Amino acid sequence: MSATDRATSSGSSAPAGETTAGDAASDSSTAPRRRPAALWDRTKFLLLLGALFAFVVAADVSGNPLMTWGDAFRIQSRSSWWILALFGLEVVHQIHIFLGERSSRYYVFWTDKVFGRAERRLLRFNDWNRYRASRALKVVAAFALFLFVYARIVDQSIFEATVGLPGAAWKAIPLVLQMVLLLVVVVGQFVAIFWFLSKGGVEVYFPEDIKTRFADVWGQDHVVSRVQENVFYLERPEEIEDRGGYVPGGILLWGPPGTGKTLIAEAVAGETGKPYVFVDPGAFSAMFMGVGIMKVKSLFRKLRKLSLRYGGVIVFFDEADTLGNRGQLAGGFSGGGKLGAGAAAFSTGHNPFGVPVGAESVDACNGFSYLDSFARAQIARDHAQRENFVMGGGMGGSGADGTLQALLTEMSGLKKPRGFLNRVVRRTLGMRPKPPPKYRILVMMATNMPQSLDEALLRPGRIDRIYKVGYPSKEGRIRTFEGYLAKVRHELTPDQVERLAIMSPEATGATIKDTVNEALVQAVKDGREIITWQDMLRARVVKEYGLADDHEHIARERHSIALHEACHAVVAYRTQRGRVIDLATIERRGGVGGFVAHVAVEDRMFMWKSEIEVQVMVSLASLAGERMFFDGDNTVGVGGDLRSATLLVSSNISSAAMGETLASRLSMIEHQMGQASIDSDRPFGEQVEAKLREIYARTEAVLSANRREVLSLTHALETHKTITGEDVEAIMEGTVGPTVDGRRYMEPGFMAVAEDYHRSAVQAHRGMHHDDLRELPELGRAAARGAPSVPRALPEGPSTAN
Amino acid sequence: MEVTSRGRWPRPLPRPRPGSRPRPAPVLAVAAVVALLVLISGCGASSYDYVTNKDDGAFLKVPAAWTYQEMPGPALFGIDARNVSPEMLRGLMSREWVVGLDAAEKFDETSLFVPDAPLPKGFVQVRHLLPEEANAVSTNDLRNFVVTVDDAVAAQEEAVRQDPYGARLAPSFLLLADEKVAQDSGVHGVHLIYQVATAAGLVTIDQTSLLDQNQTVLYQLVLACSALCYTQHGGQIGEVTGSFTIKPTDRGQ
Repeated sequence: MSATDRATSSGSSAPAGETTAGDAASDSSTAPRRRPAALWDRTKFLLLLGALFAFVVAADVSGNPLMTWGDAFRIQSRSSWWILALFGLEVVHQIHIFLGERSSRYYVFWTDKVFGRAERRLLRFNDWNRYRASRALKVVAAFALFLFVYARIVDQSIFEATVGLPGAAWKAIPLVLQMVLLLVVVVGQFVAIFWFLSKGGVEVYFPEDIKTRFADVWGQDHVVSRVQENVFYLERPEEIEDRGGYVPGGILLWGPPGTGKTLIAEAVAGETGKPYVFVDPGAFSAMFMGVGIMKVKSLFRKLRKLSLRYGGVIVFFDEADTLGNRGQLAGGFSGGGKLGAGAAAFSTGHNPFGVPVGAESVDACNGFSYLDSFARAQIARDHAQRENFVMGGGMGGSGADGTLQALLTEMSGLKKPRGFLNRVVRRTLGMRPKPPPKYRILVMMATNMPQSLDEALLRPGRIDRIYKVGYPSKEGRIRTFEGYLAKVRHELTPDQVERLAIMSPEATGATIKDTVNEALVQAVKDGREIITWQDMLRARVVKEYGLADDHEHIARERHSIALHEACHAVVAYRTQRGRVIDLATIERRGGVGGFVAHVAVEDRMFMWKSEIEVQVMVSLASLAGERMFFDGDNTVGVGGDLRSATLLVSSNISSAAMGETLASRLSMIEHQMGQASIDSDRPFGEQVEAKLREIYARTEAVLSANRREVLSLTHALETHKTITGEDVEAIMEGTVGPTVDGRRYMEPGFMAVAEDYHRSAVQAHRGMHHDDLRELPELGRAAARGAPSVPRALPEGPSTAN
Repeated sequence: MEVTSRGRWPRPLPRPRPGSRPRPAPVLAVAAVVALLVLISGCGASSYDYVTNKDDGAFLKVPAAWTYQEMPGPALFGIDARNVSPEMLRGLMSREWVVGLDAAEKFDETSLFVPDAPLPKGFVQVRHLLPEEANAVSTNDLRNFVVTVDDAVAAQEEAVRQDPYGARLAPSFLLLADEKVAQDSGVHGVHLIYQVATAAGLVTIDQTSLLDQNQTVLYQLVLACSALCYTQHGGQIGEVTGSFTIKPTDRGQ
């Protein structure tokens, strides 16, 4: 007894107990003493023995009408003398402890001289053996105590009671069964309810169930190859485990909707030799608290079982954002760059903002790798603060019922020993449970909203790989178009298909499928079986920009709108690189009177200052054009253009050295430094205005040099309402487009007619004519009609804008 | 802007405050007092011993100086255990519980039924009657279990008639007490004290015979010693007989 509750067992080498404050003697502060025992420790054995004695006395009195308490006490103090003896021993022990707390000399004498050797011998056992021995002792003592009490209750000797115990237990079985039955009935109802509730939402597929293959995923080759790599390691774990690595456990596929994340997951299911578990989005949301947790637990129980049976398993969480998050730990995703470089940022062990990014922010070409770590950390911290300021509080925690936490621990938590035999029986027999086996579970998740995932979910060990499934590559889009076009009858040439792919850089499998279908609808509407290039273009317009409403502009407004859009188109056509005009229209869609749409034909990452200026020029073209053609007047329709021009110029002056200064104004404002000085030296507003005026002048120059083209496009837009980029090209270059024959606008007489018409429009605008402006000259339409191949035929090899 | 990592190391644990000095003295004092009490009371011996059979609900209080011992019941007398199946033997034994009582310092089984014992001797028994016995038994039969009391009374009266003086001076049988006993739970029977003349002298027998309500279990306490002994120890014997208490259990049913 004294060995087990000794306060410190390290002998005299270390000062054992705490010193008793208040002792004046200086040596008392260093002299070892027993640590004061708690009241419970002082009294527990006394209480136990006292209770035992009280029990034997009471057992004697109970049921005997003649027995008095006094006699029972006297009789038992003779027959059960050993209880009192133990009681006395314990009192002595407590006195010994009490003295050890008071007197250091006494304490050291006993711990060192008397018990020291036994203690050191005891320390030779390792912790596990000591634990087992003490546990065995406790079990034996508790059993002996139980037998003693039992024997008294049944009024037999302890040996008779021991022998009779199995029989008594056997007799008690009906009672036990009754109670078990009662429990089963009471608890079983709940178990049954929750069992039913926790079913569903999880399906297991085997390779032969699924026909999708990696070859069916088009345009995502880089992601597919990385995913294949993970599946490879899952199937041949020894390849990496023999070399000291581990099988990556989690993949997150994120990206815009329709880009094939689920398709990739399906392909994994089709290609792998392992079972594939598909978890429905929302499988874990349940009506009752705790059911979600049960579902997670049962899911992972199933996964572990499958993993052991088949050597690995893949689980796929579709729309993983439904798993929720617990609010922001350290900000979230900041758009594009982070996830792309995410794995690298995580693996460096810095904070997740090791690479601060953001499309328009201080992004740098190499993720600041040219800076040292301190500078990087500082930049990252600033960035994080800004992100938090902007995004803070945006995310509600929806994992409040513990489902997410359960998922987190299941994905990377304590690995518990497996099986009842292993955990309970082996431990009861004093054996160590076998370590848990290696479960190879590949977790795949797909989401459109990675920023709504919990930060902890994305750490390595849970989700090791984060892949962006972006818009498909050009080759992928071509292949997708070809794939869907192969299912219908069409007369598109490969060049046209390629052009389609170029024109729709953000097309996904889903939108391509939809566009082809829309083209078929257009063709069927016209009573044709075969899809033409025109159908495709019309379908694209409908799908990309929506349906125009039936609004009919009044004639002079129509002219000004057409001119406005023509100016945009002309400047864009003359100055832009890498982007082509997709569509110009003066048909009203929603609240927009008309627009010129562009598409990027190159997948580029950075813009140059000169290209920003070109964008500003395109924006300002409407204002410059309206003022040029309407004698200095302009509509309020230029407001949006001016806004974007100003925004572009000011933000790039402040962060991309577009103006006279190099300083990043943005960061200066953030840190409240230098704002006054930079403004007093070179006022920011003046810089912006000067830059805008400079670009405005350039825009004017472009427009004056292209007066014929502006008027031609205006005419074409007024005539046709909507023209494609190819038509614009045809007008600009004087060739034949799909709708418009541009050659007619190059004819000598056109300018006179157009200028005349425009003059009348200006006069109408100024209110000189009370009647509306005169009829639109039919030249363009005549020209278009004159061209034999216009409406249906396809232009020869459409050339791109640049 | 200084990057600090201080505070990551755990601070040393705070020392216990001076006020937390242990005050175990009251606890120890209480424990010591309790232990003392226990030891003292343990030394004081009880003045009675208790002979109990909780299974059948028979309780008896005897002076501490007396000795007692459980013994095979009379039902097994004369039965050769080799001729009886163990189950049968166990059954018979469980039906009968007999404890011999002896006021002597050393329990002497052989002299338990010696009529002229100088100190009270006897036995207490519980017997589960066989169905035939149970059907036949009556309260009147209880009187005649040890000595056929009624016959003896009749013989004595006859002797008195023939020789009024001689028979009264030296009676062969004298009924000193004959009372009915009724205890709780329908336990009923008789308590007789009588004097019998034997070859060794006069013997006084104190006999209590009880039946439970259903008359299936017989409880009997018999104490005997010489007449002289009885005059000396009659108080003790009366006390023992008076403590004979029956609390019938459902085992007898």
